[in-house]
Amino acid sequence: MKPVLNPVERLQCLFGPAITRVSTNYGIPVVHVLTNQVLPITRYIHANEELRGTLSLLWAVDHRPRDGRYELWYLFTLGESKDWLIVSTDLPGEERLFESITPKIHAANWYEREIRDMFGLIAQGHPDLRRLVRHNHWPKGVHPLHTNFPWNSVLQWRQPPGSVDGHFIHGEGVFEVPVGPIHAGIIEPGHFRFTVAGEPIMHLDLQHFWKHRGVEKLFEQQTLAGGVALAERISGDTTLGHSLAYCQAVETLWEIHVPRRARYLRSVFLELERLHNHIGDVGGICNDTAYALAHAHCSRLKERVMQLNDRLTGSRFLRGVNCVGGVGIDLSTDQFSELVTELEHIENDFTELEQIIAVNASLIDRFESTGILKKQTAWDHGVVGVVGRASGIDRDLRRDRPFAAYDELSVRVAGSSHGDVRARVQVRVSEIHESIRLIREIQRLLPDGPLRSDRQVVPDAGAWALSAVEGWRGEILYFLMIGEHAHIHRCKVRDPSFVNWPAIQMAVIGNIIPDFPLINKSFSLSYAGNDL
Amino acid sequence: MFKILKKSFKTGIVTGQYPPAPAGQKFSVAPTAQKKAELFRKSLTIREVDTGSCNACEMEMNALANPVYDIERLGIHIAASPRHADALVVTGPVTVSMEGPLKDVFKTTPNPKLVIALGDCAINCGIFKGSYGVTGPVDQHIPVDVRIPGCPPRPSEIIEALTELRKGVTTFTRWFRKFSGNP
Repeated sequence: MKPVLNPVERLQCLFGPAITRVSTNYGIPVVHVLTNQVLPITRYIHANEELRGTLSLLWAVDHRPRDGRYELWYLFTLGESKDWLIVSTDLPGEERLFESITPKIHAANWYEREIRDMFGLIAQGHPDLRRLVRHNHWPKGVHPLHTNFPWNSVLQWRQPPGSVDGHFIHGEGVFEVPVGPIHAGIIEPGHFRFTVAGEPIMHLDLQHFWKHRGVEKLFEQQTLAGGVALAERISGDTTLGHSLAYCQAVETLWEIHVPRRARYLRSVFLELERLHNHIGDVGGICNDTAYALAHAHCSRLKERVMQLNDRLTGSRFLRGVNCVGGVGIDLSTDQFSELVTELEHIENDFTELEQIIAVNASLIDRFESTGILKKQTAWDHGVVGVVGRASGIDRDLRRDRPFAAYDELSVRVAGSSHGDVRARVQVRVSEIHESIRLIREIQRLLPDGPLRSDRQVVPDAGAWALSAVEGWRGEILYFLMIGEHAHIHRCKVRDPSFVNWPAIQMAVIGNIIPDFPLINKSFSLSYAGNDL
Repeated sequence: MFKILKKSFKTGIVTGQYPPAPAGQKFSVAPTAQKKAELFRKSLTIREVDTGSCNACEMEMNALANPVYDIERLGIHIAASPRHADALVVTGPVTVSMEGPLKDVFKTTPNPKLVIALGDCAINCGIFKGSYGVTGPVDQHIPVDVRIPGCPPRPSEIIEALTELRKGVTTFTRWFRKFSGNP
C-alpha cells in the first residue's frame, strides 16, 4: 500500500536537495527552497492533481540592510483540504532578478508586477512587465517598499501625468474606447481601455492604482496596536473585514485568546457589513439595467441596515468596533433583540422585492449569459469570494478556515456554476438570507463574558503571522512581520479585489460595452483596496 | 404590476426618515464662498471627484441619492460630467496619480464654481498625511470653498452643510445692505 504523505513530505521526496529548510509557523507549513528551484516546485504544487494549489498570495520582504537579502513568499491554498502551504526563498541583496512563475501559474501575474514596482525585483520571463502600481509619470528607480526609502519622500514626477501604455490591437475597423479615470457616476477612479470591432469587446486593458496612497509603507510606521485605524481605512466598505483580519494577525503574534463573546460579536458585525453591501449591490446591479424601482428599494433597505449599524455602534461603517484582543463595543440583550427584529423586517421586505425582481423578464434577459467567467478561467486567476462562488469555485473561509465564531456556527455556502451576472446576483441573494440566519443563530448561542483579553507574549523581531477573513467580497489576507522596537516590519495586505480585477478582463470579452457597467457592478470590486 | 403597486403603497414615503445630524456646526465656509453660493440657491449640480479616498465618502455621497435622503428634493442634482457641474465635491487625499486628473476636472468645470472638500482626508489628508503616495490636501491644488469634516461625514451632515451654504441672504437683506451702505 502506498503510504499517505502530507504535502510537505511529498515535496521533500520529490525535490529533496532543493529544499533547504522546513518549518511550521503557527500551524502553517513553510518550505524554504533554493531560488532556482522555485518554478518547478510551485508548478508541481499548482498542477499536481492531488495538491491543486491555488496561488493565494505572493509577496516580498526586504531584510536589508541587516540581513542583506530579500525574501520571496508564495502562499498556496491546496485544493481539497483548503490547507495553506508556504514556499519561501532568499534573494541575495545585490541580486535583482528572480524567475517568474507567471508563465506556469497565471495568478502570479499582478503580484510579480507589483513586486517589481515596489521592490525593484524583476521577474525574469514574465510575459508583461509593464508598470503596474507606479504610473508612467512616476520617476525611475523609486521603489517605495525598500527599507531605505523614506515613507514621507516627495516624488518629483514627470509630466504629463496619466499617460498610458496599454496592450493595443490594431487593424481595420478596430476602435479603442478609453474610459476614466474619472467616471460618470459616483465611483472610484480607474482607467479602462476597450478595444472593439463593431459591438463586441475584443479586449479590455485595465489601468488601476490611481489611488495608491502607500498604505503598506504607512503600516511600517505604526506599532502593532496602532495599525487598526489604518486597516479600517483601506477600503471603506470593508472596514470591519480589514480591521478584523489585521487584529487577528496581531492576536496570533501576541498569542491572545479572544474571549468567546467577542468572537461572536465579531461575526455579528461581519455579517452586518456583508448585509448592507450585498443589498446595495443587488440594487446597483438592477440600476445598471435601468431598473430604478429595485434600486430605490434596495438602497432604502441598505440605508436601514446602515442606520442600524449607527444605532448599535455609533458608526455607519462599523468603525472603531474591533480592537486588538477583542471588540470595543458590546450589545445588550435589548439591543440584540432590536437587531434581530429589524433584520426580520428587512428580510421580509427584501423577499417581497425578490419576487418582483425574479419575474421581470427584461431584467433576467440582461442578467443571463452576460459576463460569463468560466470555472477554469476563475481557477487560473485564483478568483475568490462571491465572484468565485458564482463560477463554481467552492471556497468560503467561514467554512474552510473558521475564524471569529464560525467554528461553532454552520455556514451554508452559496454557489452556482453558471458564472454569469445572474449567478452572481443569486449568490448575493442567498448570502443575504444566510447572513440574517447566522445572526439569528448567534442570538441563540451568544455567551456572556469579557470583551477583550490582553497580550500574553512579546514576540521577537522577525516573528510573523498570516490571517484571513472572509469579507463580503471574499478572502482578505494579511501578512504581518514584526521589526525592531515592536514596529511593523512588513504588512502585506491583500483585498479580494486585487485578484478579481484581472479576471474581469476575461469576463467582458465578447460582451458589448453597454453591458460593461453591469458586469463591473456584478463583480463589485474595490479600487481603494486594490490600489492600497 | 399589482405586486409592484402593493409594494410601493406598503412602503409609503420614506424620505426624511433619518436621525438629525449631530448638534454643532462643524463645516466651514470660506468668506468668498457664501456670495458665490447665492447663485445656486435654487439649484445646485454636483460632480463628485474621488482623488484617493477609502470609498466610504463615496458610499455616503451615493446614499444622498437614495429615497431616504433624496437630495433632488432640495434642488441638488448629481451630474455625470464636470462640464455640467456647479460644484465639485472632492473626497480623499490627492494621490500622486490623481493630481493631474483633479486639475483637469477643475479646469473643465465652468465658472462660477464651488469646490467642496468632503471628509477629513480631503481637508488634511487624515491618516494618510505625509505618505509618498499623497501630494497633499485638496486646497494645495485647487481653491476650496467649503470643508465638511468627518470620517466619513454622515449624509445628514452633508445635507445640513449644503442647505446652510445655500441659504444665502434674502432679497430684503440685500436691498437693505445696498441702501445702508453696509455690505
